[in-house]
Amino acid sequence: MKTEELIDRLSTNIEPVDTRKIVRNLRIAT
Amino acid sequence: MVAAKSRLPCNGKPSSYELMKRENAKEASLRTLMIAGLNGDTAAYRALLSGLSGHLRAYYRGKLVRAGRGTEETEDLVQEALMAVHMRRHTYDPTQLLTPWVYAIARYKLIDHLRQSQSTLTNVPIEDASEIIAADGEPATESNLDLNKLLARLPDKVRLAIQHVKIEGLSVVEAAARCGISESAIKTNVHRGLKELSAVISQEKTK
Repeated sequence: MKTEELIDRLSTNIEPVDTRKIVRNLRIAT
Repeated sequence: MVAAKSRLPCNGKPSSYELMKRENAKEASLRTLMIAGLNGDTAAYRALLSGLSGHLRAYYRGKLVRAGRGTEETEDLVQEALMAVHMRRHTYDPTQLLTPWVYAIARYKLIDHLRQSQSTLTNVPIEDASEIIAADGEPATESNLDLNKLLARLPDKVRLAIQHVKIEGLSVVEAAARCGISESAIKTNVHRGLKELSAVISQEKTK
């Protein structure tokens, strides 16, 4: 597979990532 | 015209200040795309991966040549690194610089690739090769964890200097550009960091 094809696949229908949730979880964990 | 000429260095190469400005602009642009991608912006995310693929290609070509390997493996490594960036994108902290995070992933992928394709394994039956690789991977992972713990004890500026120059293999000029500080400050921070790490390791040994 060509890199351009991979980029197209990876960037299709990406879902938003809730980074604040991760920070909250890290705070709870520490 | 005269003023523009006077800003050019004598040897025609960009100055370290110019390189630093370019690196900072690249970092800012990629980070903006990453943050937009994390928010679900497909076009920004595609632009980010395209931008990163160029940087990663140049990085791997240089590293493979230095390791005495052919550059035909470059594209495989670029793809592996892009997939790893994609899979781990939720672990990126948007308040931190993006490029050190990406290069850390890229470096791990390179090490894994070189370990798995070392020539000694070509004489091993395929059934045994996977076990050897798996067994070999454990101490490496532990070493990475230990190294990360040690580096975490250092002040940010010192840690980044060590990470860029001694771990990622960047030149002092490149590291200075990436950190936005002078070359001499990078050298001082590397020297100071190695001294502190050495002291910490000695203390650990005597415990």
